[in-house]
Amino acid sequence: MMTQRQFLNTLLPLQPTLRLVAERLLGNREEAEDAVQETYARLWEQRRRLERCENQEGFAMQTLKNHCINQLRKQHPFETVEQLPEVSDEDIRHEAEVLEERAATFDRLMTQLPEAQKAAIRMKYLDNITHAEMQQQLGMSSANVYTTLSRAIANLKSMINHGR
Amino acid sequence: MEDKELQQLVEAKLWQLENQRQQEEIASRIGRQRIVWPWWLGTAAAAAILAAVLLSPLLSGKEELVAKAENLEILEKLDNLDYLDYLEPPTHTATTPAEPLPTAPVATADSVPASIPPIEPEPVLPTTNYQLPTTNSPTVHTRRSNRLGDIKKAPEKPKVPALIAHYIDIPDTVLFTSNIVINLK
Repeated sequence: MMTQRQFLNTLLPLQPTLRLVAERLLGNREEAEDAVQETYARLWEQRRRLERCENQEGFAMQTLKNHCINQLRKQHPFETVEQLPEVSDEDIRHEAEVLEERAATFDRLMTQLPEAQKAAIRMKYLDNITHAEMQQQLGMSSANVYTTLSRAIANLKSMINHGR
Repeated sequence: MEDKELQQLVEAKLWQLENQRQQEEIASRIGRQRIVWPWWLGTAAAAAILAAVLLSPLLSGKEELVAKAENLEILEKLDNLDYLDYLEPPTHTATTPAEPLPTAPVATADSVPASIPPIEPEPVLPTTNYQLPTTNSPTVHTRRSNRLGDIKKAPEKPKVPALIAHYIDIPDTVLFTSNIVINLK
């Protein structure tokens, strides 16, 4: 029988793709996340069946789509399935790969920034920290925080333009 | 952020971070916590189990050897014993004489008192008017005791015709006042 480790090692890498599909179908990020989690819970419940399945990725994708369709039927009881947006698995996979590649590029560019600028960018755009908290954590004045941020953005743009 | 390409990069990074967060949520929901055991813990446990398995026969062998050695020691002691020592009575070669046992004191004429005080009479308890019941009191015979026959027979009553024999248990007062008795007379 499939263990938890095997299950997560096999199916957790599919999560970004599944989330993209759910977002396309449901048109809502929070609902898409819920749908993906529900899909994983269902897959775990049906792990015996999943183990015998040759195309586990396809099984997971179909489970997610069925769940999303059920959700949409609940929201819009008079909408037919044919009216749903057509989602190609290949397109979704390609989109996920592009996003992963961009994220990797961002990481690579960030490593080339000075520590203060790196921290400022992370706080501002990734951790969603307020300007006052940034002043406290970085130990800078408000003007210095603005200056650091603007320099970091300028450096990133420069690196992107120069293709580094 | 004005630059479109940079914005795309940041969005992609955010998307990736969101994916990581959700993967952790899914993993915890499935029931698996991301616990990374230190590698040496597994090695130490394996070594301990291996050592226990390898040393267990040695330890048990040591116990057997100790038991055998103790048995040999006992046998050797038994061989060295002179059994005649136990058959002959023991000879006391004590250097100091045994202390005499304490003797009971003997009564002499001086020790007995000249006159023994007379024994005082015991005080007489006051008598009461209570009297025990006499033996002439009438005995009561229950039907059960008569049936069993373990009680002495009741005193004979004057013979009466068979017609009223079953009235024998009626008290005398009834007998003398009833019409039946009168008619008989």
